[in-house]
Amino acid sequence: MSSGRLPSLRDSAAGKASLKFKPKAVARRSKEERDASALKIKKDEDLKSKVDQKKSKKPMPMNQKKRVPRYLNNTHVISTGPLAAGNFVDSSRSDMRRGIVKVEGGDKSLVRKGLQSIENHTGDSDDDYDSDMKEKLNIIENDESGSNINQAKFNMGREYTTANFKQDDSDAEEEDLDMEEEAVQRRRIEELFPVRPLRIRHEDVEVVEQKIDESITETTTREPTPATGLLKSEETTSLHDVLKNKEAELQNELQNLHIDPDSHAIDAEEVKHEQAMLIKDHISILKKLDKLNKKSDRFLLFQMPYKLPIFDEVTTKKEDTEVTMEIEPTTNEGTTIEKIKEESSEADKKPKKKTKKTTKKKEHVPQEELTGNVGSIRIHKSGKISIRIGNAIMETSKASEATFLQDVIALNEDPDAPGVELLGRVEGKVMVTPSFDA
Amino acid sequence: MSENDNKLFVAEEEEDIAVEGEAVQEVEIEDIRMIDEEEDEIDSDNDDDDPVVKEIPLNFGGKDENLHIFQYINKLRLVNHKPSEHPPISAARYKSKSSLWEIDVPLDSKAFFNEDKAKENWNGVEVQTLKGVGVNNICQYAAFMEDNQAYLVPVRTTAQLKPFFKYIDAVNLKRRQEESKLNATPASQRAQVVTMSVKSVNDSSQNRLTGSLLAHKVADEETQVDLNWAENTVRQFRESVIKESSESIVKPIESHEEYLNHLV
Repeated sequence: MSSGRLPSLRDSAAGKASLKFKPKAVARRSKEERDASALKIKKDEDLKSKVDQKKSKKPMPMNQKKRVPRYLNNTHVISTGPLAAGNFVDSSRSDMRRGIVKVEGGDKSLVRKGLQSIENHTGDSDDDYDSDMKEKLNIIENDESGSNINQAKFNMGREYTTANFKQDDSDAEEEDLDMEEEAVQRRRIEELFPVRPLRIRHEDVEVVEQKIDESITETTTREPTPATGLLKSEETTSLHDVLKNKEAELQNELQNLHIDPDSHAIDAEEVKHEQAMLIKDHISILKKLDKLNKKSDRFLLFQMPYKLPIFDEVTTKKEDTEVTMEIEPTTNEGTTIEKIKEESSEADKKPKKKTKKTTKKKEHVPQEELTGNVGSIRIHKSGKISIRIGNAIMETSKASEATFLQDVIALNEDPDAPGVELLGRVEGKVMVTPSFDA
Repeated sequence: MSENDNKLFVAEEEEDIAVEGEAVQEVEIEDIRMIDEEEDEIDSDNDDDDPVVKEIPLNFGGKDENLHIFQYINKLRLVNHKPSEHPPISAARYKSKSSLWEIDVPLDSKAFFNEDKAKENWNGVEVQTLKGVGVNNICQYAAFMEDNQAYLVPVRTTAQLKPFFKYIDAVNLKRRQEESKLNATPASQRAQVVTMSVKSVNDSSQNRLTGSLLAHKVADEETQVDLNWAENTVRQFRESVIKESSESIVKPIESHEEYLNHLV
């Protein structure tokens, strides 16, 4: 047994008594101290003052007031330094003890500027961080560490989600035509620093936890749980009647709610919400259409059903049959149309109609070659958008929005001068589905 | 609102009648009745609780246009709620049979770019190559608006353009060639053995070159066409589509129900 095999195992088994590393006793600061040294942001203070008010109303034992959440036991909330909540300090402009984060490559002025500009633009990018707040913060900083006004900081607490990219840009887009040098640079910086990390402020969590604790704390009693009074059912009405009544009630309610029997949602709120969302989508489609009207280099993609209603070619009003004949000479069907048209132009309009009736099948315009006015996009009073193609009604819905750039290009495969034309960018996508409600 | 509606539809009827002129009544009347019925249906669709407020005419056109969609996977559509700048494009290449696109975007050497490293390690790479295969897209249309009318032009393919690290491949290939030159004798012998075994498989499956293998082969053998990249030609494009669309008149022959049946 004592062959010396696996000595490390034995050691570890026996070595429990004597730890190799003595845990360093961390001097815990009281909550008041931490609060004093933590970043003071107005919102926090508000929250805290509310909490304090609550506390003052409720008589609480002192030890409970000082309770610290378990997950923060033996931890130290870092309120200064590079890992601190909300602070980034450009090392070139402050003393070294503030942090170890340095901006690499000091000659890359753009990067530096980017970091600085983030601070400069906090006003327009952060809504809860207004200017007088900044002043206040500076004063506090002054009290703390002397002379670091105009530090380059940026708020790491700002939360960015994909929604930021998906948001409608319809209002913000107009002024991007004539940009000055500065604006160009700012733009580049924005492109280089598109997303900032998410940060959770422990102070906030603490406050919330305390609130939760306060709300659910209940003193335990030795009394038994009160028994629920038995429901006194009216035995006179039979089960069948009750069921019938309930059924009728349900039907009534359903009628009141105008719930579409096809929709699988049960909750009335859910249905309403869904309809509101759909309308919102439609309004956004409409906005986009409006934008297309204004800007020539914007496109909207339409995903149509794979089969469209069948259309017939009709001779134009102005009797210029030659023109239409020139358009369609290539395909077989085109030639049949030509023949028919020749006939029709010679003869009266009555036989033309008849030939049309008899040769209908040959005359359909193939879907790929459909040209001309086929219907309309209809905007309803409620904001809903439907599409009429021929006599068929289609429903529209907004496709999920892409976060990446999409272009529409036209390819010219002419062997002499092959080329691509950039026509414009894609604004969004609309799905068109046949309506089965009618 | 409904009055407005009716006016619209009446106008359409009149148009139809105008087109058909003073034709013999039998057929005409039938037709009109049909239209009437259909339009009544349409009316009843919306009039019960949600009338149509506004209509945007919808036109098809550009059947001879060859439109494609490029999706720049590595470029954001919006930067800080504003549309991002379009990447500059210095060259475009295309293989039509395999619909393989290649696009060169000059690299931005001002920020986060190590020029020395690029020169030393990567043969002085200056462009980012984006590559993608155009995928057929049935019934996808690109819409634009002119004079409050919508025009739909069919889109042929959609291509996802992703960065393709040509310069790394080139360097790797070069290094491998040099290595094989250096220790030629043992490696080449082994290689011979391998080729033997491959051959035996190859004999039986001459026709089995299908799917992605075949696509690769076709793409590799196809010659690339260098394309001229042109911008700001939207005007002409729009005008031609609008003209084409205005010259043709089509008439639907199916009712909504007929269309639904014909779908199935």
